[in-house]
Amino acid sequence: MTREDAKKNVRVFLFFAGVTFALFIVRYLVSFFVINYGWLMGIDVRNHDFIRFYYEEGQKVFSLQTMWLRWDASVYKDIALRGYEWAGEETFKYSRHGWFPLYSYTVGMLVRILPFYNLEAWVVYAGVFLSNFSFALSLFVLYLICKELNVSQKAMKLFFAIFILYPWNYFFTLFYSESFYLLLTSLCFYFLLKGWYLYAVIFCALSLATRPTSLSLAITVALWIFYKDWLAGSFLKLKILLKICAKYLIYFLIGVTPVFIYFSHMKVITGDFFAVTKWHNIRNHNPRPFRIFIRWYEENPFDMRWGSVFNLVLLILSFYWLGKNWRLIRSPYTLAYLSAFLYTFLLSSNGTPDSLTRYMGVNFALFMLYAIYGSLGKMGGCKLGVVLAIMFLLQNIFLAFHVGGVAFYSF
Amino acid sequence: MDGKFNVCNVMLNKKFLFEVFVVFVYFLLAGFVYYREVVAIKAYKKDFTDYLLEYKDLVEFDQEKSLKANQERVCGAEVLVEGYYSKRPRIKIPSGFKTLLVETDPARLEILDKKLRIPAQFILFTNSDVGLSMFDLSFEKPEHAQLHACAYKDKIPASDIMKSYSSRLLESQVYVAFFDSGTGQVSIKRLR
Repeated sequence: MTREDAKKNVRVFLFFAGVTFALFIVRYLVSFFVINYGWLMGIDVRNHDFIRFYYEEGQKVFSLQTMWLRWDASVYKDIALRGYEWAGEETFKYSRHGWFPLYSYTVGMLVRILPFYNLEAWVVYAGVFLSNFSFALSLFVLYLICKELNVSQKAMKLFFAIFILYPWNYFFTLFYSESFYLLLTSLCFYFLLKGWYLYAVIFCALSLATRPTSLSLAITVALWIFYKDWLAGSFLKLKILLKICAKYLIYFLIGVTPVFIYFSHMKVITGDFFAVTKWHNIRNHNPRPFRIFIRWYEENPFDMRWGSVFNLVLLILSFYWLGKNWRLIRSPYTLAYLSAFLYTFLLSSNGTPDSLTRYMGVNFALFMLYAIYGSLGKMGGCKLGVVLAIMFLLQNIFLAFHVGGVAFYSF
Repeated sequence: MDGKFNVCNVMLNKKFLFEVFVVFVYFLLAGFVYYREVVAIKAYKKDFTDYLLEYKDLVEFDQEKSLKANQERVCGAEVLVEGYYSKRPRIKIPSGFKTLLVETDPARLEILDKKLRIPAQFILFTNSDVGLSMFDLSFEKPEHAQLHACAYKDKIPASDIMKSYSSRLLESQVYVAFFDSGTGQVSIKRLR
């Protein structure tokens, strides 16, 4: 890498960091119109928050902390503070084990290293910081991937504009593992493309300790490395074959180590090495492919959230674009696409519709990258501007209505 | 480097050496995490179980009263030992357990918040005005103990205080010994 390249990379990273910060500010300003409910978070926000706009009987609170602490975020926070020890009712005994530990563990370590006294509050800020920083960094890694794939400048700009304004990337700002996971998977793909497999395996292992659905990524990485070695004819010579076997053994050990540690931890605190696999049964979930769509229509036939529909349309479009560029399907990069597909539709099909779109958001970068690659020429600047404006508007309407729930009705 | 595979070539390869270093650091970190999250916790649990067995001998259990006490169970706490003492209990804190007596005077909460930064494995509660003088406390290693005078001036239910503190504590492995000199209740609870 030349000095000029390095300077350019620094500029690009600073640009992405600025964009992330701007998004954070915009979302925060939107939160002025959102009423959050303190009890959802299980924390007493009265004492700990930086900024409080409105308070009434301990229930309705405008706050930075609660704004970034919705849904599963309270679980991540709890794990970061207290680990997985759970002595509640049997029904919920395993309920946290599906949230893999690396993100919460990193936040917990970060807070414990720094001299913060009020952990309950600072763990939230540390988590939000880690999420936003990871998002900025993963944008930069995606930029490097684009360069590695020789994506044109125009296509690259479109890709980043859509990715940044994509409504569900709101979760990248929250106290959620999504952006951290995105960073790890992006790094994994980047090193795969570069051919530096050791680092790819390390980041794959770390992503597996962050979200269980990364199993599909692990399969993809294994197939990819095997495919490359096969193409190189490495299995034909005995000496090289031995070397490769040793290499595979090391990769395997690296891959399973974080998960092994997590499972061993579970063994110590619950007495069950495979406690992680049981939480679905206990919560009466019944994971099976495409279940989400079935349940969706069974339970809420008329309750289609526009966000989910929007994501579905994008997904179909990406398939359409990919189909038009059939040549790409025969490239090894198809494995990455396969991974994204497996991830979204097979492994993640037991959540709610919103969760599904959120999961899609994590791998949205990869979807869009393969979709846009080589297909931009037909889209004019005017159309692009309209699309971006609509997305930006939708993003903030989503934030105000969807996140705030009944915010406007309360006024 | 002539491209021919032999041990010397591999060993002199800087890239290879760096990769070995990375793998070494990776497993070193993994080992550290394994020790912290698996080995240390296992050892801690064993220590605590031994301690509980010792503690049980010191408490004279009254089955009927214990059942009654279960009704005011603290939310989120698992009761490990519960009973009523009929004699003045001697509590021997084994080495390695740090002890905190929690102060409920609001004026001193600020100080205690900072104290709670220190991982507290053991907390003693009492809602007695007499407080500490009720008990003979002995420590194998007194320098490990952190004691604070404790008095419930406002008669705040101890369960409320425990609940509020349970959400602030650092470690998941927190056990609480609960003494109520008024009713004679003794219990050890594990916070979730």
